[in-house]
Amino acid sequence: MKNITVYLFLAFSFANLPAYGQDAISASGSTTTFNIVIDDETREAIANGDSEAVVAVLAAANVDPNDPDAISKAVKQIVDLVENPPKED
Amino acid sequence: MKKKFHFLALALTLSFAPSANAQSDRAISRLAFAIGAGVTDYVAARGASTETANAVIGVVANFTFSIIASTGADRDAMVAAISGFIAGTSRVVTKQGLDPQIVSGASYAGGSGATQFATMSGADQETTAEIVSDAASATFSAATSVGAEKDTVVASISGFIAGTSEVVTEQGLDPQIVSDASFAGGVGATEFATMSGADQETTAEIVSDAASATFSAATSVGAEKDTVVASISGFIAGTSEVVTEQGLDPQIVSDASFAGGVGATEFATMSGADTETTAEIVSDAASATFDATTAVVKTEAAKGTVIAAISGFIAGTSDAVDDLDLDPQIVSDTSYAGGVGTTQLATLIGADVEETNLLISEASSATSSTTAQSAEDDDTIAAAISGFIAGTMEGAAENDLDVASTAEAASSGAAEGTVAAAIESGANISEAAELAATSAATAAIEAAILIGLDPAAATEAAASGSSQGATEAAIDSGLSQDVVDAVIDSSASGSSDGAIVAAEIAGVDTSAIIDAAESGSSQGADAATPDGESTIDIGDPVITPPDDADDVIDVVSPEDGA
Repeated sequence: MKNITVYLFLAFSFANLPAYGQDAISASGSTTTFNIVIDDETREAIANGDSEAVVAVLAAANVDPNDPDAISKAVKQIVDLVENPPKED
Repeated sequence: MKKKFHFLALALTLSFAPSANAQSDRAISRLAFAIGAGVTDYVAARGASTETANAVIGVVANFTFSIIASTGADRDAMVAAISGFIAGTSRVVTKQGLDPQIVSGASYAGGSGATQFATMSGADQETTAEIVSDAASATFSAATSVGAEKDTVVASISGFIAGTSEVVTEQGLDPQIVSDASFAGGVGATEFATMSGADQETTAEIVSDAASATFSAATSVGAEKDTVVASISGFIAGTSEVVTEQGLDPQIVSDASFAGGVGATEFATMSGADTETTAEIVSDAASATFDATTAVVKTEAAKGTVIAAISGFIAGTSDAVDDLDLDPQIVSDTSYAGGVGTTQLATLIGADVEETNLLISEASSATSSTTAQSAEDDDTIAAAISGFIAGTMEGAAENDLDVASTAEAASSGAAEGTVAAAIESGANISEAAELAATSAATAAIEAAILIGLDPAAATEAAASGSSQGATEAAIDSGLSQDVVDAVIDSSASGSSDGAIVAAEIAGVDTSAIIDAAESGSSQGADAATPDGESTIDIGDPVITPPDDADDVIDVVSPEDGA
C-alpha cells in the first residue's frame, strides 16, 4: 500500500514534467488505469529489450499516443508487471 | 507558463525504497531500452508530430527513470537505465527515419534525471559530476552502438547537456557538473565520427555541429553564464583529448572551438549583455576553454591541439562579432585570453626560449589566419591581432619570459598568418601586411606602457616581427620580387603608422618610436630575405590619429579594468 501511494504521488508529479523545449502537456487522463495483462512470454521479451512487445502491450491497452500521462501510467504498469510478476494461485 | 519539474517525489520514493533491486545493470538497461524503443515506436507509428513525440517521450523517459530509481537502483543502475532508454529511442528514430529531434526530449530527461538522482541521493558536487558524466558517456556511447546517425547522436548530446544545464542552473549546483557532462559530449561526438568511418573533414563537421547544438541548447534553457561557459570549455576539452589520443587532425578541435566562440558571443547577446559584459563573458569562456584544453593535452607534442582551440575560438568570436555587428573590443579581449593562454602553455610544458617563441608565433599565425578567413571587417581582424599580441606580452611578463622577444614572435606570426590568408583568398597582400603591422605596433606600445617595458623597444620588436613574418610568407608562397618588396614596404609603413598613432595617444616621444619602427622593420626584412639585405622605402609616415581616442581598441586585459 505504501508503494502504491508513492507511485500515485510520482504519477502526479511527473505527469507535469515539461519535456525539452516544450510546455507541459495536458494532464488529461491522469486518473486512467489500464487493464494491462502481460503473460510470461511477453514479460520475458520486454525484460530482454524487445520493444515490439512493449508496443503490443500499449496497443492492446489502447493507450492514447498523444497523452504522456497515459503512456507514463501504462509504462509504470508494464515495469511493475515485468519486475514483479503476479504470483500464480 | 512552463511548469517546474521537481524531484521531491523521487526523494520520497528513495526514502521508502525497498532494498536494492536484484536485477543486474544489464537487465535494467535492456528493460529501459525496450521501454524507450517501444514508446517511441508506438507514438511515431500512430502519427504523432515530432513536437508531440518529443514531449511525450521526454515525459515518459523521466517517469521511467523515476520508477527505476524507486526500486532502490544505485548509480550504476540509473546510468544503465538512462543510457538504455535513450539508446532505444535512438534506435527506433534511426531505423524508421524519424526526426532526430525526438531523441532530444529523452536525452534532456536523461541529463536532468541523472543530475537530480545524484543530488537527491545525497551525492556531493564532485560525485554528482561523476554520476552525470558516467550517464552522459554511457548514453552517447550507447547511441553510437545502436547505429544512430549523426543528427540523432547530436540530438542526444545536446539534449543531455541542456537537461543537465537546466537543473544545475535551477538548483545552483557547481557548473563543473555541466563541464564534465559536456566533456563527455565532446568525447562522444568525436568517437562517434571516427567509429563511423568519417574522414577528418567530416569528423570536424560532425563535432562542430554537435558543439553548436550543445551550446545553443544550453543557452535556450536559460542557463547562466558560468554554466554555458562550462558547457563550452568542457566540450572542447573532451574533443581535444580524443583528438590528441587518437592522433586526429587538430582542425577538428579548431572547428569545435570556433563553435565555442560563436556560442559564447551569441549567449551574451541573447542575454542582453552590453559590449563590456559581452567581452567579459566571451573572454571568460575563452580562458576557461584554453585552460581546460591545456589541462588535458599538456604535452609539447599536443601543442597543435591547444593552438587549434585558441585560434578556432577567436575566429568563431570574430565571425559572430561581424555577423551581429558587435564591437571589435569583444574580439580583442578574447584574443588577449588566447595570448595569455599560449604563454601559459609554454610555461607548463617547460619550453625553452626558442620553443616558446616558436609556439607563440605558431599560435599567433593560426589565430590571425583563421580570423582573416572568417571575418570580413578589418577592424575585427586588427582586434584579433592586437589582442593576441598584448595578451602574449602580458603573459610573458607574468611568467618571467622575455617580453620583447615574445612580442616579436607574436607579431611575426600575426603578419605571416594574415599575409598567408590574403594570398590564399586572393585579397590584397600589401594591405594585409600593413594591417598586421599596424595592429602589432599599436598593441605592442600599449602593452609595453602597461607592463613597464620601454615603448621603443616594444615597437622595434613588433616591427621586426611583422616585417619578418610578412616577408617570409610572401617569399614562401613564391611571389615575385616586386610583390615581396611591396609587402616589405607596406609592413614597414604599417608599423610606423601604428606606432606613431599609439605613441601620440599614449603621450610618448614619437621620434624615438619612428626610429624604432624603421629599425625594426629593416631588421625583420633582412632576417627574412635570403641574402640578408633588403631595401625599404616607406615614404613619409601617414599619421592619422583617430578623432576620438575612445575609438581605439583597448588591448588591455579586462582583468586590469583599464
